[in-house]
This record gives sequence, structure tokens and C-alpha cells, in this order.
Amino acid sequence: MGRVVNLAPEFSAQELDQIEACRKGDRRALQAVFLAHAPYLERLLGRVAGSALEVEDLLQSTFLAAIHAFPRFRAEAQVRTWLARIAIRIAQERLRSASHRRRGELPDLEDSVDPRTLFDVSESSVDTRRQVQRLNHHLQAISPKKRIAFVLHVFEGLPIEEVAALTAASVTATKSRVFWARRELIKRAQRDPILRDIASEAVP
Amino acid sequence: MIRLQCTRIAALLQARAAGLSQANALVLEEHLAQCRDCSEQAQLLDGLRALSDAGAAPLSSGARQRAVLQAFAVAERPSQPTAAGSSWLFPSAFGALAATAIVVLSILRQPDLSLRADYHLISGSLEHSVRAAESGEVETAIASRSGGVVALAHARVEFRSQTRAAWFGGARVLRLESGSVVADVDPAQHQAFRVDTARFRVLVLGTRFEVSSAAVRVTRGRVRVERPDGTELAELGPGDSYACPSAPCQLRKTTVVSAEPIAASSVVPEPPPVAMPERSNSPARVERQLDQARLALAQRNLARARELVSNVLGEDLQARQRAEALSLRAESALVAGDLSEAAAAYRLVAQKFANLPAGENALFASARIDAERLSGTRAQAGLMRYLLRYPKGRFVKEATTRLRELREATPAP
Repeated sequence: MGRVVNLAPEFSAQELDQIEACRKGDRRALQAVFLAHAPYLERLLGRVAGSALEVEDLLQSTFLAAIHAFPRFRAEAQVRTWLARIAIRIAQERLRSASHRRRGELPDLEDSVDPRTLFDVSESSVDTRRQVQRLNHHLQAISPKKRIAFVLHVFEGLPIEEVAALTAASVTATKSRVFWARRELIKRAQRDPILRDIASEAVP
Repeated sequence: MIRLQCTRIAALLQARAAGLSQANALVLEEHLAQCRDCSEQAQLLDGLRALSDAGAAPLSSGARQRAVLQAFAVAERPSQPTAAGSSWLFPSAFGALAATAIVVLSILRQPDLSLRADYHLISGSLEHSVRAAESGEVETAIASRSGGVVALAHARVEFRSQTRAAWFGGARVLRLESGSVVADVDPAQHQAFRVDTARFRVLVLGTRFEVSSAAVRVTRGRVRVERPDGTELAELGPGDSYACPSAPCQLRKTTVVSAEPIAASSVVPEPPPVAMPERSNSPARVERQLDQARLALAQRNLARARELVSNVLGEDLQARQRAEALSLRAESALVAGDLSEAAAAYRLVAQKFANLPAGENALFASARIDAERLSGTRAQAGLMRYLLRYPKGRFVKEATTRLRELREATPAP
């Protein structure tokens, strides 16, 4: 996946104009910025939350928070990094809340998913979907802090220092979280009859 | 020595997606060719990562557009109170009715938002609005005209009339702007709750106490009163009160027996705005520099991170800030790949600040670096020291596991 978050605050003149417009609350500029970064945020939130329904809700909360916070955006980081930090903070808060824990199992199919991804109903895609569900199920069983650090570093490929910055934790604590999440997930996957064989399968 | 290497290989396996140096990639490849356990784990992780990629389906363009539009719709609802002084607290009767109706409507239309802010109205009438601080944290502005009771996290907080405050649910901090509140904190939750005023802040684990901008009185349990920079002013027990009628706070602790509310005319004169001139080494400035150093480190801008840390270390710092700055120096060395310097810097923090969380963090980090550098004996000694010093520490489980693995890997004499 490679490094996807660029933290270096180097802006072109056009970007600076856009940021200035966003600071002033220009709706069109805000909308352009949000739509430009939405795919990245969706992927990030999708990995953390594991459900498209949650992703839409979290995305909306992220944009809402960003609308309010933009006037104080100091351009010390790229807009995408800043939005990612807000998204992760909101996801962390949501995952910690008791209301989220009460929701229990995630639905198998969400109406928010791009319908194009649902046209393929071959047996292998059903198997993959079931495996994805099992993976999400096991990830949900890991504590939010550990899970978020793990998915950002191991699945999303962010360097550990960036994960630490995004989650407002020290590098040592982040390493520890990733370490424990990996052990727990591997142990669970090895015990799961649907997942334990993926090591020998050629997963695309 | 395969087992000893496995602990290091685990870190490389995790970091594979983020990219490995050529040398590390070679080490990993060689090890995977020899070690069946690690090879299986690598394949499993690859499979899970591919599944995760397959599962991270994008939202439909309609859902994405909906998220953006709804965010705008919520943001543009006119339920946000402006920060303009008394005109906001005393609107006209019609304005008050309209504002209340809007707030009620907005609460009804977005019940989840109030849940997210950890805010639940119990009785009375309070106005509240949710906004995001720059950090992305949810901030709930609360205003009471005639009093009301609200549940904030694990505390039941009674707002006296004409009180205004901001609630930060993530940090469990209530920032009192004017008026006074009575907080009843559930001790069973074992979680901190803090009330900040411009002059002092009150830390509590479980108790009942009343705070105004200028005074605090404890009914049950114990609280600690601090200056805004974190230095302790007083520790209060049941019946104690602490008054700070002028800035800077003078220690004036008195024990009271009356159960009457803190009277607005006596102990709580509405204070003039407290001027807090920012000195060159003010805690806020130091915190900002530390934040910037953390950010620079995350950007791998090591020169900037080191420069900021050096600047901070030249200031007159609190112990916590010095420990934090030295830890950042160690992390800079770690990111630069200079493991010897990082381990030495961590050891210094561990030695000097053993009673702070940063000290605990540093002791474990130095042992882990030793383990990753294949310095088995030193790593074992470091982990043993960690377990002895912090038997209930945050990394006990990991230290125990690593120590066991190191012992298994080291041939018996």
C-alpha cells in the first residue's frame, strides 16, 4: 500500500487559496476539499470501523468537525493529514462509547456500499465477503486503541510515527498496541476455520 | 538463534506495508526462508491485509455526497450560541423561545450528536450546542439561565443559574466560564474528572464539590486544586473550601460547615477577566513547542524536531515537560535509526523520571531497543528492571512475554 499520508506542509498557491477560502467558511471550497479527500478518509474509516454504514456516519461527523475547526487550521500539516487526524479521533471516541458496543454484530450487507461491487455474486466473491466479515468480526474483538494502531500500520501501511501522531500516542505505546493486536488477530485467525487457510490461498 | 531473531522479525513483518529498508528486507527474507513459524505468520498477515483491502469498499458517490451535505446541514443549523457575552445569556423572550425551540428541534433531529458529546440532560433547562475544537475533539457549550442538571460522562453536574461552561467529553474536562456548578462524580468509575476555571483547576476521582470561577467547596471525598499550569495549590477534604478571589491565586484554604450554596454576593464576585500574560517560557508555549516537535517527528523532519526539543530543554520546565522533551529526543534518535543513542536517551529519562509515566515508557523502550538490537543479555536485564520497578505497569504483559522469549532463545550456560 505504501505511504499514503504526506505530512509535509508544502502547499501550492492554489492550495493556499483554497485553504483560505475554507477558513472563511466558503461552502464551495469546503465541499471541493471534502470530496477530494473523501475516498482516502473512507478507506481509513472503513479499516477502522469495518462497516460502510458506520463509515458514512463517521465521514459526516468528520466533515462537520472540520467545518467548525477550519477557521483555526494553522496549515502545519497537509489538509489530508489534518482531516485524517480528526477522523481517527472521532472514530476512537465513537468506538469507545457504550452505545457502539451495544450495537453488537455488524450487518452483512450495507446499502451504502457502491452497488458496482455487489454485481459480482460468484462463489469466490461470496467466500471473500464471508472472510471479510470474519476478519471484521475478529478486529472488532480487539480493543479500539490497539485495533486502530494495528490497521493503520499493518494494513494501511502508515509508518509507526505517523500512526502515533494520528492517534495522539507515543511511539512506544503505538508499537506496543500494534504488537498486541497482531498477536491477538493472528491467534484468532489461526483458530477460525474460515480464515486459517487464507495463508495457503492465493488471495488477490 | 532463530527464536531470538523472531522477536525482531515480528516488528519487520508489521512494518512491511509501511516499507522496509533494503537491509531489513534482506534480513526478513533470509529469516522467512529458515523459520516456518514466521513464514506462516507472514503469509497469514498478507492474506488478512488482502482481505482488508477487499473489504474497504468505497462509499457510493450518493452516500459520499449525502455525508457532505448532511454535515453542512447540521453545521448551518442556527442552534449554535455565539460567544458574545451577556446578550447571548439574556435574549428577548421571543428570542429565548425561538432558541429553545431550535435547540430542542436540533436535539430531536440529531440525538446521536448529543450522545457523542457525552451530554444527557436530567432536569431543568440548559442550552447546549456541539462544535469541534481544532484538535477534532467534541466541545459542548452549555449555558444555564435558571439552572439545570446534566449527566456529563460519569458525573452528575448541577448548573446554578447564569452559568456558562464548555464540556470536553474526550478528556472529561468541564471548563467553567461563568457562574458555578455542583459536581457529583461517581467514584466507581475510577476515572478522572476535571473542572477548569481561568484561575485554577479541580481534579477529582469521586466526590461532590461546588466550583465557581473563584472558589471551590468539597462536600464529599477529596479534590486537588491546581494552578492552570498544573502546580498544586491545595488538597481539599469534606467541608473544606478554597477561595481565589483575585489573580494570581493566593492560598487561602478555609474549612466551612455550612451546606449553603456558594453565595454570589460573598465568595463568588463575578471576577474581572483574568489577564494571563504569556511569558517566554509559559507552559502553554512549551506545550505548543512540544506538539510541534511531535508533528515534526511524525513528518520525519528530524532537524526541526531536534531544534524544537533543544529550544524547549533550554527553558525552565516542569518535570513532566522535561521528561516529555527528553523522550522526544530519544524518539528522534530512534527515527533516525541511531539505536545506541536512542537507548541511551531513553535510559536517561528512565533514570531521572522514574516516577512519571514517561519514565516507565522510557525504561521499557530502552529494553525493547536492546531486544531488537539482539543484545539479549542487556534486554533481559532491562526487562527485569522494568518488571521490578513497575509490577503493575502498562507494558507488564509485553515485557513478560518478551522476557520469556529471550530466555527461551538464550542457550543455558
